[in-house]
Amino acid sequence: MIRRLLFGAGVAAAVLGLVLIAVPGIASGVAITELLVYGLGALALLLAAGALFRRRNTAIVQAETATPERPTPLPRPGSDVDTRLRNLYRLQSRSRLASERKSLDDRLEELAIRVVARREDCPRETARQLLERGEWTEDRYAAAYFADDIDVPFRDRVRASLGGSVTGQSARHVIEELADAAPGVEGDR
Amino acid sequence: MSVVDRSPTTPGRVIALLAATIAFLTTLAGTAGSVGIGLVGAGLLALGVFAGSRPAIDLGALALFAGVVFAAAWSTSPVLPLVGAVAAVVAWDAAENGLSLGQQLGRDAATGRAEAVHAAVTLGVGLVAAIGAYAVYRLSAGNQPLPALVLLLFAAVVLTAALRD
Amino acid sequence: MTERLTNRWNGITALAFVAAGIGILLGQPVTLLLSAVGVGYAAFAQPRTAPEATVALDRRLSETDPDPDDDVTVTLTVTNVGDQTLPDVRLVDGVPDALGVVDGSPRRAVTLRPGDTTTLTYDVEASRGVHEWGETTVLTRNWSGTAERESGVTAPGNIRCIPSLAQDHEDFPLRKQTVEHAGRVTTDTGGAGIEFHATREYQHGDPMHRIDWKRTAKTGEFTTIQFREERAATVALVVDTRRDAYVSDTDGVSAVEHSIRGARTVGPALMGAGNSVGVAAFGPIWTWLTPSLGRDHRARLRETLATGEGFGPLPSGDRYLPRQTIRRLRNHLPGDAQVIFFSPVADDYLVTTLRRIEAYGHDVTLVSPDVTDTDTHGGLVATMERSERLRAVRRAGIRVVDWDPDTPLRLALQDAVRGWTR
Repeated sequence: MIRRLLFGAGVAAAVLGLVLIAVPGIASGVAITELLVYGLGALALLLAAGALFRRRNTAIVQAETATPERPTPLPRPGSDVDTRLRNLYRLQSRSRLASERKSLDDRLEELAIRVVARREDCPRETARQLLERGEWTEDRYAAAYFADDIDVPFRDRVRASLGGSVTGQSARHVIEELADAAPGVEGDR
Repeated sequence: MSVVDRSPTTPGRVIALLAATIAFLTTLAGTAGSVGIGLVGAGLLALGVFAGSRPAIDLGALALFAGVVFAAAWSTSPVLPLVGAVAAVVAWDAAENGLSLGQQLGRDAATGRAEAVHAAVTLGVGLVAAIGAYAVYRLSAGNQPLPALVLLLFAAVVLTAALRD
Repeated sequence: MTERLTNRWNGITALAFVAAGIGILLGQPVTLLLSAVGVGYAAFAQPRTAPEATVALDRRLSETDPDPDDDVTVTLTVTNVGDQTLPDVRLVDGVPDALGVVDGSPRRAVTLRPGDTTTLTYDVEASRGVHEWGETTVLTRNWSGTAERESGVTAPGNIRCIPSLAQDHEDFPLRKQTVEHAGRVTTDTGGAGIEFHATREYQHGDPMHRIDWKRTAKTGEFTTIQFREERAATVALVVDTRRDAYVSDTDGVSAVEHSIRGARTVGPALMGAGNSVGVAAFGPIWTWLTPSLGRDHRARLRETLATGEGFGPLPSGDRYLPRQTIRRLRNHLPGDAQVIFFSPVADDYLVTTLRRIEAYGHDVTLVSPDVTDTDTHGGLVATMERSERLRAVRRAGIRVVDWDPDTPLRLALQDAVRGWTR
């Protein structure tokens, strides 16, 4: 409704203006205050700012397209572990961090029990105890992962948390230590 | 197979840069200030069209247009400024279209013809408006009564506000 | 079909206002004139509807039964069958998920007047299986680009790629479970058969043609040659097609694909030696081919391994029901059948499955393609987990062929056999 009024007013003004230009002389009697003129100018600039502001606030919307050129990729073995390790380094909510850490913990613990039980030729329960006491490896980071009361030295901990997460660091050490223990697994990093 | 390159298309870049150059050249008729703003604008637009950044394209085109507007303040003939204004918008339109096509279809897709047609239509719209403006200018032929101008200004403002943004 | 406003021209009125404002504040009429350009474009940006995708698609494929790695040329013709010009048509063809484009582009942007046609041409590389072309995405915009309509148009097309069975036959060392008619599995009980086993003292009544005449010539003694009994076996080649098995090696080839290639090598060899061979897909989509012999069966085997619904190149979205699948396998396996199971062993449940099949009375041999690597920490974990699982499988008395798919299966078999007979 307002738009129609504006449109009508605009057309009327345009016609009048064109008439005044085409037929000079009619206008000479009309007085226009400078204030009105400057006011209109300022108004125009204000409207310009408003239009620009509105543009900044609306996003461009268009259809997203798939990538048909490439066959759908399949995951590599262990890629989910790599993703979890990467996520540990990223700052995220406490609960997400906790659940990611838990699934990584469970998986590494199970693997460690199997590897240690085979290496030490002992039953699973014994292996689990070795892990809890941190006696299965010389590496302090790796030992600290499963043992609650072994602490990584404070200095190392600070250094590690500056570069990323202590958990992530420990997890990597655990994996490397287990790999060294397993014959026939070439570590190549 | 390599992943698809989704940066702005080549035809888009070419048309945008060509139009931006034309717009910039028209600012040379003005002061150093208008040339400066125009240069910054053209530069930003070029950056945007190579890096694939919409904010750069938008700002660049706006600055380019502003340069043309200021240059027009020192012009006696409206021809060059009108050309510059249209060129600035054509540059923006080709740049954004090229960016959009790059995102949706990738650079390797054939888009040249479609982009040329699109730019031509945008150019045509601008030319119609410019010719209309020039006609008004010729009509007034030096005799520009203030009330007429004010009315026209009012008309322009109000009509534009009536158009949905 | 979705219609959207792009908002690309939003704020264009600012140009008109800037020119008008500065023009009047500076008192410069020429500047004021420039606002006409802004107004003109603002009017241009008024329409907010995108045209309908009035296009007809036609798809031609250079070949519908390609061999693996053949290039297939796809030609897609797009025609505007409406009565309005389509100013801006953007096309993305629906290339089958498992295929890759090796030449050309499946995308295009065009302007189509009524009756105009454009043709897209590109090449895909064929790989095993049935591949269907999906919807072609058609995006249509109006002249100013203020609105965009997204539609899906289907132009049907499919290819069937059925690799031939391996030509080089290598005897697969089967386990002892056999059936009672003569074939090629060696058993340890000596008797009538084909392969030389041992000699014993001549006994009255032994057939003349089985006397070791060479020995008689040397020593004067009469001895009878005993042959290992050779009997025919019934073998089911079971391929792990659960989602866990769809992991890929460094070249992007999945373990399922390697498993199927292994089955393609082993199956004909066994059949050539007189054994009955069948296949099964152990996964969300059950596929079963009853063990049998003969040329017709060879063809069925070849086709099932290539195009069987359960043997797709990509994991299906279907739900996998573990208990149902193991039960189905148990019900379908002939009582005397032995199983050659192909799996990357990417999860613990598979170890349980193998033990269970063995417990049901079917001898199991595991052929496991190794797609793991040790380049990343995750890869190390996967490698170690697999090692431990293979050990567990061996401990259960199941033979394991640990196969690096970069090498022929034949070599892995030789290594494995050496280990078994030690």
